[in-house]
Amino acid sequence: MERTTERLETNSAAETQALAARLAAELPDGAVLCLHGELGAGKTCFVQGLAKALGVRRPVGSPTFTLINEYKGQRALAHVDLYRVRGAGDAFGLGLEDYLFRFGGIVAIEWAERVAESLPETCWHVRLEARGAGEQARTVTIERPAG
Amino acid sequence: MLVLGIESSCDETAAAVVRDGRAVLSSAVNSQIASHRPYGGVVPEIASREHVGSFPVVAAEAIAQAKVAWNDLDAVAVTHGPGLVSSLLIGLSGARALGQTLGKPVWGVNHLEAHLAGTFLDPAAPPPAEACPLLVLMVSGGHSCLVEMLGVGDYRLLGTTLDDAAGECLDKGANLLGLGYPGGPVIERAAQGGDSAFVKFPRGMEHARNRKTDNGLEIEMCFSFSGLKTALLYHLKNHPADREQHLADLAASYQEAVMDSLAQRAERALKVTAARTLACVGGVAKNASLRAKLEDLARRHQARLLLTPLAYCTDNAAMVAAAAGLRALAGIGNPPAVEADPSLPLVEEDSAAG
Amino acid sequence: MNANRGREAAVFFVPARRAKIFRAPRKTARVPRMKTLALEFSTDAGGLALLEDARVVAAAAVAAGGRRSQELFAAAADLLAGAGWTFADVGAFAVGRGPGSYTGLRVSLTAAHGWALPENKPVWTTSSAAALAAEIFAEQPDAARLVVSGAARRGTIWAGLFGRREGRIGDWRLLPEDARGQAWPDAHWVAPDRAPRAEWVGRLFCAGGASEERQPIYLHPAVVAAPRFGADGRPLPPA
Repeated sequence: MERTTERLETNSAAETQALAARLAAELPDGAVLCLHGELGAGKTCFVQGLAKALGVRRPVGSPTFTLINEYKGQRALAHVDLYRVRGAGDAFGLGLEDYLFRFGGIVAIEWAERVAESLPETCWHVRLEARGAGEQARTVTIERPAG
Repeated sequence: MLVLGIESSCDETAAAVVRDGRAVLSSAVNSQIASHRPYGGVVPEIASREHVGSFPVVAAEAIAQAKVAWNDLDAVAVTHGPGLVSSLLIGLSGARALGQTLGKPVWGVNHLEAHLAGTFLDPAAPPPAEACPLLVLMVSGGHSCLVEMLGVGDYRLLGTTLDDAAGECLDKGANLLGLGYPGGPVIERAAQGGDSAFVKFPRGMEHARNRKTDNGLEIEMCFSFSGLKTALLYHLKNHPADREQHLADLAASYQEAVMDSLAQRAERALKVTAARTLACVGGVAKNASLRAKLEDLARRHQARLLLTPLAYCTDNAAMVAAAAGLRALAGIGNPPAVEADPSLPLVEEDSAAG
Repeated sequence: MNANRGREAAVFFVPARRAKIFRAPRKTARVPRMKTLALEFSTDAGGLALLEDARVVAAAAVAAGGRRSQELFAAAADLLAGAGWTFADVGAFAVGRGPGSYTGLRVSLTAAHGWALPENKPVWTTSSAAALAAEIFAEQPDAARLVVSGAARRGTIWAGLFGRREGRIGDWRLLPEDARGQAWPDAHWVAPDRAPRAEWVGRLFCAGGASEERQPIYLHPAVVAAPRFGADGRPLPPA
């Protein structure tokens, strides 16, 4: 089976979060979701939508200080942000091993390309790009793993 | 009651012996800041590796400094959350093994409650029962919230950050300004002599009157720092020369925005609660400009201000042993330490609105 | 890759009277029998063993992998109680230090230190792979050289070559997965489903093949490149 790619357009942060919520229902336990996009593209906003759909009640911020935040909900969420680590990133050297291969819930990783070599082949990818004039309009590309 | 506290929730390995929840007999801390500095923040893998090496050293040192025997201990208390799982597990495993071989109970302490107990490590602070209701501004690298303490173990969450923690916001700002890590102290140093009115950065959630979060918190008592970070980013983009020519002014303005936003929320909370005592805990509580703002606030509202002793603001184990001791002495007991819970809340989420 | 290689050394079949070059405590006529608690948690199939001198008295498999790491404590209590021992009876701790699961290794090492601290008991470590090699050498009297391997990150394995007399030969190696069974063609590759066992960690320790090294064996350094930011404050794109 091939990986499949889908391109969607959203017009507001709320729409982007609704899209994240729909994706949440599709993600199996243990899924690793890689988020790509410039600073300010709305990666954290997307994770917030995901979190709400997973039943997380606490506010979700960027785990920039600790790299990893874990949340309990109806399903667990690990939110990883690799913003401040660059190049030569090795998921094992960062302490992500347990999250990539043993975590029971959903793992969402911002700037995941920085540990590209360590990522499992079954990752999901979401790319967020600003679109047009509207400050919150985005093109969202979702790439699903094969099979 | 003699309690050995163990703390390893983030990047400090610490052990301490505290008598009756307030008298610190020893407090040993192995800070890993130097190991994490090159990465602009904590790297969980580095933290966990260092905890493994320093746990036995720090624990033995706490007992030696306190001049007590292992068997004199009544209990071992350990932070079981919130924090980094890979870090929490080290302190938890060490504490459980100690308790098992000593035949003493091992209690799980909430890291946030420990910070709160740090207030009472100041010998001049009143007993908790006298200080309550107490308004607590909790600000650190990983956490920012406003809590009303009604009694030991009885807390009401008033507000929390909707995105980044205050310390995290300072880290990001310091990174953007090229000042290094950790953000709080490096920004404070760079801000000296700077003009805090040079740029009027946003305070976040300024037009939020009468709105509530999904879990029922007043937005007026919540923090938001992501706009501040973005504002600094765009300022630097539009005025690239300012980074060289107005570094002190930018640092002062940024720090002012963070501290002012914290003080604003504390003031709103003072207005709507019965609390007449205000406390500030966590690493950011070390910031002199925040301390000055809170002193001014307390004066204007005839409130008493309790500031955590500087040595117990950043992560340490004295506050962990203190929290467990205060609960035990108040007769409400401590849960056994069984698992690490990275997202352990101070107040159960469902009652946050209550 | 590992500064302590050689320390776990050629001990599998070193005669006991030569073992005094190693620092592990040994039985003498006047010393009471040494009771050891051995721990091996480098894989999800972890375990504990009690040894009296070099004799295994009791052992238990403990599935304490990943998120179940804390089950080690109840298992240790049960095992001791079953043997009629208490922690006070245990004179030394022997821990397998990998390579393998970081969580299992850290938790078991830290637990051993916690149990050992109040009475300043010794905590000794040996590589888990050496324990497995010792077990296989005992099973296969004709084998001269063995390769012990395990899964590393995606598409790679780690592997170590062991000689019956020499102990580990050379460094740990990281190899592509399809090199399993290929590298070191003269050596017998231990089946990947064989996990190191606490009994053999304990036996290796009793034979003098342990060190005081406090950290697990890490084949991946905890290193990431320092972040770099462009003039506009944005992080530079990944290399």
